[in-house]
Amino acid sequence: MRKIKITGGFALLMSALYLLDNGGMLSALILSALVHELGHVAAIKLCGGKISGLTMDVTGFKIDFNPAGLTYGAEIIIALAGPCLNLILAYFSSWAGNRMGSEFLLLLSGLNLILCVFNLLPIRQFDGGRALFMLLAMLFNIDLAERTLCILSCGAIFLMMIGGAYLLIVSGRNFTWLTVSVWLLVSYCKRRGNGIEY
Amino acid sequence: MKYESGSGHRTKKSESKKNLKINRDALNAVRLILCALILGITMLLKTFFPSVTTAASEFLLPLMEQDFDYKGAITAIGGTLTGDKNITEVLGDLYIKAFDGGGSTINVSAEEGDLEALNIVTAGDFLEDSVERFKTKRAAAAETLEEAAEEVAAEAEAPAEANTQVATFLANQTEFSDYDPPWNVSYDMPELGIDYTVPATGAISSAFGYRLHPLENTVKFHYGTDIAANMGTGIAAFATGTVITANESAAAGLYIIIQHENGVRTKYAHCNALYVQEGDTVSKGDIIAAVGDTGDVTGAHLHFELIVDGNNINPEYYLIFV
Repeated sequence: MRKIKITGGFALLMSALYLLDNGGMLSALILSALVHELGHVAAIKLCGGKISGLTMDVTGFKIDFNPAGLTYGAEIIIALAGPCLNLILAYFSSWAGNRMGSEFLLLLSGLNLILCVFNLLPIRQFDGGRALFMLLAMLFNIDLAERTLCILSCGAIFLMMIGGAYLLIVSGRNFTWLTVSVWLLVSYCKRRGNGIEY
Repeated sequence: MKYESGSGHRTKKSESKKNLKINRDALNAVRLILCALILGITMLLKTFFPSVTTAASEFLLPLMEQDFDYKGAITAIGGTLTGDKNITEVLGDLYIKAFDGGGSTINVSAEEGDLEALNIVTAGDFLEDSVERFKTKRAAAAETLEEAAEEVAAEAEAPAEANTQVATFLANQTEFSDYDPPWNVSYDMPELGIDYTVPATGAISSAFGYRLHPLENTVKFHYGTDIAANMGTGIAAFATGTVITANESAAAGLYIIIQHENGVRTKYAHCNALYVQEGDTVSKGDIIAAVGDTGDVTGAHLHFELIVDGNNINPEYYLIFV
């Protein structure tokens, strides 16, 4: 039986987003996140994995599943399934949005594209990082995979922070990128030991 | 971690550990209930007292967004995946919008680069700036309609002409009045502040704005003005400037983009031949290309776009065919 855990942090995050929502972004965001997780779930089921629970906390949704018995290849597919589904939805809603002149569909499309690209960053707890980890573990060994991902994650987060700081200085007021980079850093430091988070 | 008791009876240690676990569970439960309550209250507030939440978000959102239209930007990105606009163009516009913020500008002439201005503000200035902007916005909203009308009347000189032009344009677009202008488009008629001329003389075969595409039967936005002219007719530069792009694309065919002063930029597409290249300086009226039918078109014409500070403006406001 699946165990669903919702933390207080998640409820607070939802409060903040709900309060600040201006016209459709929140629903599009939730929809995009759901599609992403559905992609993972579908891939897990297809590859024969067992899902034991779902956790929703301040850093997002996390699907707990038992990785025993899954090949590296299967894990790569599972990791990439989420962003793939986001990309598919992005194209579909972009096409539909352009045809019907629906701004919400275009918003959904852009959001999905951004989510896809974001998740593919080579950061340990993200899908891209995990797929790369599995690939390296499969081709070489876990140790090398771990070390490479550590370097890549730190490098990527560092570059993001520089970019964020640059944007803040040059524009004089835009601190969004910097905030996202800091969130990435917190996320990275909080990651669970085995790094399996969906 | 499995706890094993050596003997059958309860030890003090196991009992206190059990209490600790109960306490922690209780704490977690309380924490969760508290946060759920906060969420519930927020939802109630938004449903029954929308003015409170609107005021709160109107204060917080500008602080967070800092005048950058995130929703519009994301929508634009979504649109490019299967739309007409090139994603590099959209990203380029986004770059300008994000990095060309407020604050004091210092012009730095770079040898090869695109960056024209460097904004330097201190953190203190930035916070002060934000609060000031919020106060100004709130003060502006509190003005009475009479005062606002007075202000508009006081500025009647140059904008009178602008208001008529804009009004005429909006009147022509009434069937699309439900649609907002696309995120990087403005229906305004800003003062260009430069000397300009007509790039090509001819009938306007397709105007700026929303239009119902005859074949596809969909509503699309036309980012420029199409001027019908014979193949080979010379295209003149709108104003003095520097050619920043002279290239070819599937949609636009052979096209040129010229950067002028005061953040004004013009684009000339579907040309048959280009007479200038990137980096050339041109003067107002110089012949830069020939009218053609390259790219995604049905006939020979000039597709002319006017961009001011990253927004596409209606070129017809400024096209005075003599």
